[in-house]
Amino acid sequence: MKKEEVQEIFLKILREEEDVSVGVAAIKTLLTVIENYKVATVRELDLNLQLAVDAMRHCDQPVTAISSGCELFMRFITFAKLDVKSFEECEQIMLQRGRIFLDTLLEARGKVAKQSLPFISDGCKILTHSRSRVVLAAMLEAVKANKRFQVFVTYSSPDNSGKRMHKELVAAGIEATLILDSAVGYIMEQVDIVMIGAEGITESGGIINKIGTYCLAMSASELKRPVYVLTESFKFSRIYPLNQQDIPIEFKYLSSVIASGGFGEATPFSGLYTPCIHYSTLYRFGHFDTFRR
Amino acid sequence: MEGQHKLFNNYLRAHCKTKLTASQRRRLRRKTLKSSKDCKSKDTEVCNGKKNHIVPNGELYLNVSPILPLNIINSSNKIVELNTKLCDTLNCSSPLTKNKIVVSNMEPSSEAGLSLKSRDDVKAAREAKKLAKQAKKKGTTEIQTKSETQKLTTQKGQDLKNPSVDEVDRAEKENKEKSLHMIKEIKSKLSDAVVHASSKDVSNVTVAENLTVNDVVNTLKDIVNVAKNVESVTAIVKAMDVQKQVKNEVKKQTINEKTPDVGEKKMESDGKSKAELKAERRAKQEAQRAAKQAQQQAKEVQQKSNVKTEQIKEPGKKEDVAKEKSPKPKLIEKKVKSQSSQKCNWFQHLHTEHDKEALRDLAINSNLHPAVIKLGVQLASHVVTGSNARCIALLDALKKMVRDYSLPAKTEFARGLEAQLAASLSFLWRMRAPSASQVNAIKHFRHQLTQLPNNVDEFDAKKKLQEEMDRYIREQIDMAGEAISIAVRNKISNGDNILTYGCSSLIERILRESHEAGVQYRAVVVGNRVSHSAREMLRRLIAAGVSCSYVDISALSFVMKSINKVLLGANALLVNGSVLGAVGTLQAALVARAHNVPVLVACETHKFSDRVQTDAFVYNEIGDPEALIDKSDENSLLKDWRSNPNLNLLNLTYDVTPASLVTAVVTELAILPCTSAPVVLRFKTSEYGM
Repeated sequence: MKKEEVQEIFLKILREEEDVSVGVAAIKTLLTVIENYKVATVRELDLNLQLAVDAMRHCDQPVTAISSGCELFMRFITFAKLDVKSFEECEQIMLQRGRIFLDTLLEARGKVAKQSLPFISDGCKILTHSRSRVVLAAMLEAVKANKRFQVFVTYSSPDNSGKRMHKELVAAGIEATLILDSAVGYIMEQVDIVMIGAEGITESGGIINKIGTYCLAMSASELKRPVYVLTESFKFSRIYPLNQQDIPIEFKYLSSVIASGGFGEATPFSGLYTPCIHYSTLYRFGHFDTFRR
Repeated sequence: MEGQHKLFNNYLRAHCKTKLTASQRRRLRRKTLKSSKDCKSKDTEVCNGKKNHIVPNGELYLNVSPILPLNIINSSNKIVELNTKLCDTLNCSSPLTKNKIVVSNMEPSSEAGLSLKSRDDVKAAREAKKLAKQAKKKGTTEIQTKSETQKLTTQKGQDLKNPSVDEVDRAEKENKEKSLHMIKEIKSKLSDAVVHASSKDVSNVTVAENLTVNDVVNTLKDIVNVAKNVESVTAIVKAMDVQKQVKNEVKKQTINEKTPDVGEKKMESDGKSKAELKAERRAKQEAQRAAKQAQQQAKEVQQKSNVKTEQIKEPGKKEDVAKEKSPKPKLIEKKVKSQSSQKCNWFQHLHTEHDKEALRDLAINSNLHPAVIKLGVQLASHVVTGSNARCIALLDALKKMVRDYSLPAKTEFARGLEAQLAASLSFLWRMRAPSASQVNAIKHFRHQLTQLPNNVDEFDAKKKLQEEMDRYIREQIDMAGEAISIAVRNKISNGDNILTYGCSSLIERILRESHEAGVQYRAVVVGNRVSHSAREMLRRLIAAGVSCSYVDISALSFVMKSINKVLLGANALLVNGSVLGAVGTLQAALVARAHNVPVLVACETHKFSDRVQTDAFVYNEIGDPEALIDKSDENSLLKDWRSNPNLNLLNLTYDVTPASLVTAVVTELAILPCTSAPVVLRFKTSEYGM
């Protein structure tokens, strides 16, 4: 098995399926690795998977979701009783469990969207940051439920992903306005709720998201607007950053930036760690259960 | 005027003291009343006899008390007690009167207390006032004191007759009367000398300003004379071992005679020469020595008599036990009472007389293992401190105890050892309250003990337990420390300034190992003046080659600006996420929060406690208040804090840092938020069954 082959599979999934998130793509890749590369022992399989994870981390994609998704996947498939006679049986069990895991993940977004429905009230104004598939799904769900609401979307430089989000919202018939990143403080007093996605959830309860989220959350907290974070449960990762500086570098920069060694000057692409500013105003949804702190 | 002022001061001191002793006596009386009720039916005549003879004595010393220094009042208190003891022993020698002895032991002291407490203060006050007035009128003083002392001696003479009326065997009586004659002779000599001396002293007091060399020499001579007299008396008394009671009488007399001397001398100590002081000291020493000897002899006799009574084994055995116990609590109670006035009100519930009492209660032939006793002393004297060290030391002592444990016949191993363990622990916990780590270690040990099969072989069981304890130390402390060290090392980045407070073996290990791993950082050790722990920490870190700074806790907010991470140790992590740490930890965490510096608490899971505490008032330990005093400062205001009733010193050991101030707690399982403590505890319960 070669590193490039795994990267090929991974990028192909991301290209072909628009709607799939990086984490889910990573888990799909791991499943194909188990299927396609036949090995004789569990140890070999384990090495293979680790190699695959390592390869995916260097694909110039956000690492946060990849690492947390893969970690959970590995734990889930090895959680089964593996005291069977032959390795083939063992592999089959792992594959089976892997598919179950993937299915639950694919359902997750819909569940989160449904659960967030009560929080979008009729006629409310929502502020969102950048582009998040879960937030988009939740808003589409709300439109389906005949709710009228207005959305403010930030441009979210440097990649201006907010523009795409705005386009998709308008296409769905939602009244949406693009605003400058620097206008967050200005607009905050007009909005009723803030709704954002997340790339990862840390053990301390903070979130890692596109840059600018921390500012947004701070100003929301200052003006006492509720902040809802919509996220699937596979994004819960086992890191415990103490502050912004303490976040691992690969979480902050794309692998190409790190490789070039120029991350000293580069803007971190992903919006860094947002510590829970006020636990009371931070709601988070997993698809298994609703975390409420 | 100066003399008058001193008089007043002394009066005040003495007055305070008599008040205290009076209330103590009231307490004692209440206690003894109970026991005396039990033996009420028994010969009351004896009680009355004793009462009559004790009370005047009590008044006697009280008459003098307003001008006595405190230590002498104390000693005379002891003498009264001694007297009652001696009365016992005398009567004890005749087995017939044994039942009465107990009564007399209870009654005299309590009765004396009763009569003293009510009138004490008033009398003392009156006397002192009188004296103060008389100090102005020089001429009258001499006569007054003379008449007083004469009165005293006559009273004593009467008293002396009383004990002889006691029902003692006739042979003894004759013996006693002989000695009485001798004693009377000595006494008359003594009293003469004392009257002489005291009158001189009084005149000295009043004319303190124009004290001449002649006067000084005269008083010196007087003192030497008195000392000689005392010496001769004690020598004679020593010779007569049988007449304890009579001797006791003399003892009291000597003390009483000496006291006016010394008391008055204190007042004029300013105008005294060295030689005079020397003589005074010598006289004092003589008296103390004599008292000691008498006490020793009394003890011997008492022991003998105890043995006798035990041999006879009569129904009065219970009372015997009561009698043996009674003198002890008296002494202890007095001490406690005198200290209690100097305790901080909010922390009254924390004051427990741990160390000394537990040791005192320890029987000589107790079956506690020497290692346990040693550990107890080490804990109480803070030789072994620190959560981990205390835990390891405890397990070590238990290991030795298990090794040397011999199973009594017909006993299950686990049960037998459990009994032994319980006794050892109750001793240890009295020496110092257990830390969370110790409690958990004991829980684990007990769990292992219950896991042993019923018919286990003694050798196997011992081996198993010892291995288990070794495993506990290895896994829960050593390996856990290693895991934490690695976890924290990953959190320290190059160029960091790490602040730490106090001394923790774990923090020291983390810093040392991350230095050895090549992480470039600077440690800032924060300490306070009172405890030396931070300086110890600093010493160890410097020895390891870590670049360090040391600042006092008062400079905390100044250095915090340049700090990247705060790393704190903990004594225990409570189930609500609060951190029980050395006092000052909370302050460090607060300042860190104010400067938005992340606070890491390093704590192995064996220190997790299932207690809940939101502040440091509920549970704490009171440290030695003397530690607060700056020893290098000669003029420290705190130096004589015990003599100032308005001054309390409070030296607390722990404080509680709420979970909201702690960014993360680093355990061997993971880096967790403080609020995950219940999860860890639940996990441990399922894992280790403890």
